[in-house]
Amino acid sequence: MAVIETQNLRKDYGRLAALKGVSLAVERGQVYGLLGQNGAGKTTLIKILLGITRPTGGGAKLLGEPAGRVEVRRRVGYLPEDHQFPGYHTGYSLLDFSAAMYGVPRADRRRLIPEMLSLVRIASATHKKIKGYSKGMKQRLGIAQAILHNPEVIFLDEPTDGVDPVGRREIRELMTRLREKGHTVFLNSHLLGEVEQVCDRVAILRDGELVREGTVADLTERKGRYELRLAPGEVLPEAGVRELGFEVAKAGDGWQVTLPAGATVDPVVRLLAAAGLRLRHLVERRASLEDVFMAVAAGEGKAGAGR
Amino acid sequence: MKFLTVLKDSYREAVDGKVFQAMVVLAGLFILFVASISYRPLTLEDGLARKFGVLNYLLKAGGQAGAPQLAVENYRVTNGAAVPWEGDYELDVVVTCPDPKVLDELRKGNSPLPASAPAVEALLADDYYFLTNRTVTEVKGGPPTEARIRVTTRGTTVAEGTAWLHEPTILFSVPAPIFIDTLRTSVYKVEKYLVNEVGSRVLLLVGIVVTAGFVPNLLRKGTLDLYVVKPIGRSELLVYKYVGGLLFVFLLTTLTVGGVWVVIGLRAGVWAPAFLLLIPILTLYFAIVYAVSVLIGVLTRSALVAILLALLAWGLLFLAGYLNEKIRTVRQAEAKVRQALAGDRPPADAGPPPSAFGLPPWVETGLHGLTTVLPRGFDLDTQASRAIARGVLTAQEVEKERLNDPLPSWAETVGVSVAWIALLLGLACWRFRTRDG
Ligand SMILES: Nc1ncnc2c1ncn2[C@@H]1O[C@H](COP(=O)(O)OP(=O)(O)OP(=O)(O)O)[C@@H](O)[C@H]1O
Ligand SMILES: [Mg+2]
Repeated sequence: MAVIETQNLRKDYGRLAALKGVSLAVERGQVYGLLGQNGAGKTTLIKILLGITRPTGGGAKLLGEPAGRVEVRRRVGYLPEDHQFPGYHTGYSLLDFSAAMYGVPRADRRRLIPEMLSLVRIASATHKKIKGYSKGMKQRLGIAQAILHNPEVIFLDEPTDGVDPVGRREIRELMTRLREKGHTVFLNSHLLGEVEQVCDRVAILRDGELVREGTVADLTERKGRYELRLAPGEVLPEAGVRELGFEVAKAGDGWQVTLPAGATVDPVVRLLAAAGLRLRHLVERRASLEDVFMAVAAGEGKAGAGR
Repeated sequence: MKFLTVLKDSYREAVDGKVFQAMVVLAGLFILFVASISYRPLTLEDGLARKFGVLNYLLKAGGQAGAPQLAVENYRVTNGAAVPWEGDYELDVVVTCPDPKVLDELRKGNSPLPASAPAVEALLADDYYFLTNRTVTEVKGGPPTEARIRVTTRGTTVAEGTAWLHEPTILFSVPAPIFIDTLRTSVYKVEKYLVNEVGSRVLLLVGIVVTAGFVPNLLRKGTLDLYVVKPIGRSELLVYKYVGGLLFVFLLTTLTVGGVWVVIGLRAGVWAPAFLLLIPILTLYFAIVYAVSVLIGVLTRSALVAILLALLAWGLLFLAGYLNEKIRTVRQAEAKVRQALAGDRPPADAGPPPSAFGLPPWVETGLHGLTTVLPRGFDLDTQASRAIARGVLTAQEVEKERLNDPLPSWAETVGVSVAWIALLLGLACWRFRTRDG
């Protein structure tokens, strides 16, 4: 059963269509990344799932219930983007307030809060007013309040925003650990490298439309394109390779070989061996998520390319 | 559980703004000020001497050379009573004047100066009516520049000290002879003017200011999300915030009113439980105004606008009630006059009588209608004054202050006000629930 499910979800802000019929499903235990340029509708989607904003049309289900039910919210954690925690709280009191609202018993709070503050590495600011927190510290506190009550589903809207590189890695590790423990993580991020590293599945929104969806491997795969390099001084017999039906192009000090549909790279390898050439480097060329994202941004989407 | 959590959150907010502490300190200072007022029973000699002192000063200030001067001589408490209100007295009121002719004029005429037996008796009847078996006789045979009137009294009608004249001392050390009055009246004035008219208004004002930020802060972008994703309904959240503000003012009111009550009890020995009615009355009054503030807060997200409009609502409630009351009073007087003039004749059927203020009748009707349907701020005010009066004044004094006129019943006053609160909060909840984001 999908933990998060949207069906043709639409949201209009006045005349502006922020979501134009988005359907996606997230399975339990996944780390799911939602990508998209500024204003693509990522935050809007999360807000609808949490019942903060109402959809204009379509459906959104969270943990099998229509989005926004009070009882469902108890099992969900959320780190909003651009959050402003009330400055009169200290780190401790904010977590205490938050966990109490989620119904965590007092004894558990006493035990869990210091642990959590150490986990996100702001234990030294436990009893400091949030007014005096730096941006990254606030972000760490935000993550803490999102996961403290052990929610089944965790929405993180740009969790590494303002966090230093060390902290970013820690957050990545945290997400991996959460997945291992069976939590579902829904992540909005602009840091594609990061998403590539931690996410099981990725969706890309463009102007309110879902233009790509799949596993990271799916999205970044480019079938049948290889990079090869020979020992220094040796030259690829390009004409011979073309005769086998492959496309060849010089790329740097090596070559790029593109396979015809259904073929493998083996004939090329055999040809090189027969010619007595020494193969030094042969890799299947994958697109980075960034390449995919840029391509999507440039308008080369699957759907809605006409806009 | 969640209620307490939200309450604690509001408490942090109020405490963080330092206004809460300022408020408690202010309440403390206020109580201290009331505590600084002590009341000393005046002996009859002192009482007369103070009065004469003022008169002497005024007479001299009149500029006439050889102005008459008043004094008390040969003062004795003939039964040696321990407290002045149980004494039998003997004393001479002496008026001296360098010009015997002036003195004779004073003796004869209807002068208010106590230069003759009837004038002294009039003075006693006014200020010391509770001294019984008075004899007032002029003692002849003194020098021509002196009029001497001997007074003796036996027993008093004063059963207790509160009806005796007392001189207040303010700020622990400053005697305030201009406020000499019976203890009862002094306490009444402190409670009515100092507490109910000044203290309670400052309290409401600060209450409005402190609590006005609660809802707009909750609705701030970036903060709202944190609250509304919690497993709690929005209406519930808003009502909890409202109750939090209310509780805050309730505690402050209890502290202030309770403190003043204790302090007055200790200082003056007046323990009037009716005074404590101020606590629920003020809290209800605040509840009305705060409901306005919450609604405006939800609509505009601005603490400042919420404060301003809540104050405006407060002012309008008061004004409508006040004007209505004024018109009603004048109407009553008119009716009495008309009745007196008409005598036994049946009233001429001349339609509704013309307005006393030259106002078009619809204004009067409108005002009356408004005060009937609006929350009963003014009635609450009146109830507060009466609670205070009932606590300290005697039945006759209450009558004299016109505090027995019929008032709408408590059920009506509270009912209409609570209905308004429900309406305002209902609107606020509805708006909060339907707002996007
Ligand atoms: N409350 C709102 N009122 C009107 N328009 C809104 C509101 N919230 C979002 N929008 C619009 O909806 C669109 C999607 O916004 P959204 O915040 O979902 O984008 P996003 O993908 O999260 O962007 P970012 O990467 O900048 O966070 C934008 O065009 C934005 O201007
Ligand atoms: Mg966003």
